[in-house]
Amino acid sequence: MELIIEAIENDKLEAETCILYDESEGIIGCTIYW
Amino acid sequence: MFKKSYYNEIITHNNNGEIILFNSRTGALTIMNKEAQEIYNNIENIDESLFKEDKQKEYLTKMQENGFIVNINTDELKLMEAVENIARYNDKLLTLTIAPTTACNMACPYCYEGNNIKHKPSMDEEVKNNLIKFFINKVKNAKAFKVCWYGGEPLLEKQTIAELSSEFVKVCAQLGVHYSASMVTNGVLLDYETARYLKEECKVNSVQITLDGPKEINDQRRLLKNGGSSFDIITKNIDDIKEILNVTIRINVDNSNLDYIGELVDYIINNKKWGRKVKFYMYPVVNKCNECNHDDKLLCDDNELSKTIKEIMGKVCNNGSIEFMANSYIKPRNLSCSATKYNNYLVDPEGDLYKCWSQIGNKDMVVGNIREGEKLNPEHVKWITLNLPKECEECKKLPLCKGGCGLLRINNGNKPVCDVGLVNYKNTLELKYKEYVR
Repeated sequence: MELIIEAIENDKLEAETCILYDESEGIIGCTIYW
Repeated sequence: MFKKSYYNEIITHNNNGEIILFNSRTGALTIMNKEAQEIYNNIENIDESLFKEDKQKEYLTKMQENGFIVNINTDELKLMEAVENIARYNDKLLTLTIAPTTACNMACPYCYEGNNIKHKPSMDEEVKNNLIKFFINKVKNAKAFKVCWYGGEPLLEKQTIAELSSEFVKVCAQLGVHYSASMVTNGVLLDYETARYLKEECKVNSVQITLDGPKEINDQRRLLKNGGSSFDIITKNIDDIKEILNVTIRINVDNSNLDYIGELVDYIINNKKWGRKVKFYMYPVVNKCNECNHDDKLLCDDNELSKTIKEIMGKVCNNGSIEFMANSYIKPRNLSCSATKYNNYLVDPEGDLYKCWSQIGNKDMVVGNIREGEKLNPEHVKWITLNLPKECEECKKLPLCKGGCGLLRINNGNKPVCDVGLVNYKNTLELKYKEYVR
């Protein structure tokens, strides 16, 4: 069993702002279009 | 005793009999081999004390740590509600979106702000001083303080950004609070020296800049107020600053540029070769607020947009460049957006506070001001008590969207706003897997 992406810890999710921002992803829109 | 998580989704199977499994509540994505599948498929009847091999114990631990299995008594919906409430009401993170001005050096036809702003465009000394006092009062209990510079065009007010940043950096250092900043800018004034100053003195580490197509398309939509082209200036600035700041290019999409997005993406990746520090994402122009009055005929059909995003993502992935897409990382969120969070405000140049960026300048939507602090007025209460729509409770995608755009839900009686982008999320995860095994 091999993890491609590990679970995100809940406290890391708190970094959300209206424009979602995190260190790895930069700024993305408040509604996500994948 | 364990059970499978309700939020597991099989993304695909491979030729080795392995399954690619995603958990939308934790964001974990795994390749599950046959041996692990045996445990997973029988999880409700497994007695782990009978495991003889370390490997079996390891699989079980991994499944549990990553949320693919949960304790038999866990109500995951309730768990998410609890996490959402903690995130919403705790004061460990303070986020301010600050518009030092609502003036802009561009005049883009689809921008809502020109219709909203009827007040003084820039911050005066009194507002700046009161903003510092407001921040000091709010940040006392925080562990982290995040600022996003917004506008108008924030770089028209570099001096204000410098003054306020200096205070934010100083006070956060004194209190042991982690400080970071980002900026939404049109990029016209973001030259090398400005970027260096923002990074070193203002602790800005990430900027969002909009490009709406290849040069001729962009310049029809992203108009400088003096009528000049913005494309060459902006792309030159990105050339110069990409090693200093993380750049995300936002592509605002409607029917008039939808067919040209592929050309722009090709330009970004293959022509400019900006590398992984410059990412991009597409976002539809939408009429969210009363002041938004973009021509309805130009608004994208959701399916058309999803189709285009899927095509572009496929192409980008085939080039081995999926990491260039800012939205290629599918992850859960605690709240639909942070406008529903208590300690999160947008500050306009007059010092009034709002919850959502689309409300800037609309004084009916004000939830307080920096002199007296926030108020629990009806507008504020609407936002911080906006709960999940009942209709969403059985949706496996719920952790990824949490009901969708808060502003639209406040205006529609809290009906779900299903994000069009979620149509593609399994496809994107499959691309992630393909890139991983490549």
